[in-house]
Amino acid sequence: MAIFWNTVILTPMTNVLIWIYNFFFHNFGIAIILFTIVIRLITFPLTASQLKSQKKMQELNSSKKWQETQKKYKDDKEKLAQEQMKIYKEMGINPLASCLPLLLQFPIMIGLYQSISLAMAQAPIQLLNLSRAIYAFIPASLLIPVNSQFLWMNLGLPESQTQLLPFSLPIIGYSIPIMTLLVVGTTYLQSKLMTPASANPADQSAQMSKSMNLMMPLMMGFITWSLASGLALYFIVSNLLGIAQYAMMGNVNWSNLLPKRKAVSTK
Amino acid sequence: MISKKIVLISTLLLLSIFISACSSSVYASTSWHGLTADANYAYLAAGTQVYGVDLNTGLQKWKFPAKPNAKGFYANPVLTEDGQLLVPSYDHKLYKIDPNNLDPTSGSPTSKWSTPPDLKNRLIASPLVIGNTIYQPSSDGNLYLVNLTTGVITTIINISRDPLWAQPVEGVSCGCIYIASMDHRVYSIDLATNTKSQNWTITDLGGSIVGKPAIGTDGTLYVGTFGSQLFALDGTTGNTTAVVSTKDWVWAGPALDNNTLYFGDLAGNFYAVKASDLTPEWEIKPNNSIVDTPVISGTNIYLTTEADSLYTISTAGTIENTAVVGGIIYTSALIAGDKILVAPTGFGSTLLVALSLESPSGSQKWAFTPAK
Repeated sequence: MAIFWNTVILTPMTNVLIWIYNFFFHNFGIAIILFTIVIRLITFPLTASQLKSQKKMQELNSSKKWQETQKKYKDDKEKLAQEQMKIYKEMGINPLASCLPLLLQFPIMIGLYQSISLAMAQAPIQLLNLSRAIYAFIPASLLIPVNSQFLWMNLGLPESQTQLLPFSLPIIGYSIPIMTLLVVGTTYLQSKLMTPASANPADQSAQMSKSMNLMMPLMMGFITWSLASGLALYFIVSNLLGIAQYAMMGNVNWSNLLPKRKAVSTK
Repeated sequence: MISKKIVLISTLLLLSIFISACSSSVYASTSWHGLTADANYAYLAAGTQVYGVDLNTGLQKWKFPAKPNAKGFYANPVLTEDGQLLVPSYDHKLYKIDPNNLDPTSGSPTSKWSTPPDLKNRLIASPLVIGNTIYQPSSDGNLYLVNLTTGVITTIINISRDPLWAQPVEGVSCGCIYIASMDHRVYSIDLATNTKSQNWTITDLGGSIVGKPAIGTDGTLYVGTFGSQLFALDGTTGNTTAVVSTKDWVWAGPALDNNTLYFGDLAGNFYAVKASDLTPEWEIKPNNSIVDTPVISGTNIYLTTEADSLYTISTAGTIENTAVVGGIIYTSALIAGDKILVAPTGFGSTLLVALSLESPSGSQKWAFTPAK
């Protein structure tokens, strides 16, 4: 399976990345940005189809018929499932249609992440693997090692191991982790903007998505802090493109960014 | 029902792709073992720890540090004249340890010093020691001059913006050292001024250099490159005096013996060329990529390839003996007395194997696995 993965996903992606690097100024930071844009454009039909299905599901969840069915058969799970399937059929909805495009995007995103790691080849075995992965038409010997310096970063090193901006302020023995903060910020922004407004904010799924919106950016921040800065750059660009794509399709929920007014009880 | 089955099969297929993605080679080990030895002990840098191994018994004498270093040790450790061990690490530090003075509590060698956190990237190359100065290349492109006694960094020479993975070598009566860089160039450093030599011509050799250069008795420098070439450079001027093409990238530096250079390429071709003008003498193809420098003893050349075997090749180019060891062998074999040491990776818990120098394919002398 590893051979299949390397041949079909990892090796072609790495070669495209190196090719972009060769074509655009021999700057790996620019190559990562352009490569992420290309991949996001290629996977756009999947994203669009996922959003479409998601929207349909949201409409269904808030429909009167759906809610009545939930109430009516709340004690009979089997019957409820049958009725739900009926409604799906009536409305022409495939409940898995929003999951499948998401599942298909995962290998591409993992491949993208791995190809960036492989192309940076910061250690002997990685470089040995890279030498075997590059197609013959790419002048590998002339391009290696890739120039991993971008802005203030060495893209091959984790932010925790690099000297940041010359004017960065030391905080508890470390400099300000700019890329980590940007990843946390853009991930939070993305999840916040893409979370649909819930009909009932007190229900379990709304609470869960609220805590996910907080946990996910923190987790991404930790990952970014410990992995190579090149991957942080990819996360940031990918998050911003994700927001842009959702905005283009009119699915961004800008009201989520505004502080919510507390409901005033009128007795 | 059929659509459910299709969804289930697709999901399982995708899941298996994810799992294989996560276990893909990108995340495998990042380097191979480093090895050196004195008369009594072998010193093996193997991932999170460095081991002192008794050459007679194959038993562990100590490990350093007492608690594993997550970043790891991979370069060949270097023994100083007074028996101290210099160990470069992926944690951006160079350690000096005393292998003969063990801490009574931990059983690990006492650390004399480690360099301050000025080294800004991994130490993949071994250092060179001249007198009381250590010349330590770093992946940050700098050459750090460290006081052997104190561990203080005395000078930082910026060589290149690209990493330095090759061990420097001392020149012959030039008062200089040479350092090869991944930026495709070889640099000469004047030891009197600790600056780049003025009369040295820096030329792009067409590919990265990660192998330690070989030096001829006349001062000629021999370097193999990722540009699939081996160069002979004038030791004083840096001008190319001869060049020979290979069929693939040359990873390791050549071994020089009796006016012949022996080296291999990543396609697995092993070459012998005349040192005087680099004209080919013979060429063979044992098996798999060659990423290490061969070891020569008498009329035998000992070569490991990226496979599981140690080859004994005559200086006439005939494979005399093939000893199957196991795992994958990237590290150069090392002759220690009547034994030849081989350090395989991916061979279970076995990190080092001792074979008879006289008959490597005979029974193993011992196999070292770290004590639990």
